[in-house]
Amino acid sequence: MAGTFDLIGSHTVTAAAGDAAINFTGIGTSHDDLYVLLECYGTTAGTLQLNCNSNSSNVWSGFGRQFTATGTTADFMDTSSAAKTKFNAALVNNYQSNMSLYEMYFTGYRDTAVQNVPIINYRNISASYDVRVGDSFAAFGAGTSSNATAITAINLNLDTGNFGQNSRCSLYGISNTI
Amino acid sequence: MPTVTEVNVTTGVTTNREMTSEEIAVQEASNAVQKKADDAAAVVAAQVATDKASGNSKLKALGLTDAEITALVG
Repeated sequence: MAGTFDLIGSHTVTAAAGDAAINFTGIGTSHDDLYVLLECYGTTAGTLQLNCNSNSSNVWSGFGRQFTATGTTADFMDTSSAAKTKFNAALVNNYQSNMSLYEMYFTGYRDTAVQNVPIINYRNISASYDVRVGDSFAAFGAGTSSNATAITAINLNLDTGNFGQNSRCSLYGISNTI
Repeated sequence: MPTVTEVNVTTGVTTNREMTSEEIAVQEASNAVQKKADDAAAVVAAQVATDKASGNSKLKALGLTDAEITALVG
């Protein structure tokens, strides 16, 4: 059971050109789980994809579902059975003032024998929400990875363009009470 | 040149640097693999939708109602 959340790293993109990648490194083993909160803007129009990896090369597989305000649904993330090197999640119209908010829990991140399972919960907040309801959506998903070493780094990037200015990513360590 | 921000949570030091050519190549290759998988999945999904519509039309041609078709195939 989650007890305390300790902020152990944070980054806000300040450069007008944005950052191509945000990496948290040097993650120790003093917590039980990790939590990543990403407030994300893109720098290019259209549908972008968030790529999340651990230790730069861990293989993840996962599945997720997204729901729009108009009632349509679609699969997102990795929908194949093949092993993937990244844990993917779709962003829709993540552009300029459209923000996507991501939450990822890396449970058992320091375990060296048991699979690590993150859960993603995200929503897209469109600047044009009032007139284009379909731009706003929510989604959830889960992925799993079996690694022989603890997660010491989390790597984030977009498939196209950069994390836009004012994007903010925070990493928390969670200490469980039981 | 794209930049990478590294936040070392042990030292608290944040470093912003240009991506190396190797990192760019790895990222581009990975994204290309993912795009290929996504494109393939989209083709499969489109074919499934086409087959579903075609099958539905054929069942209707046989005289089945929408409710009967739904009861049969969900």
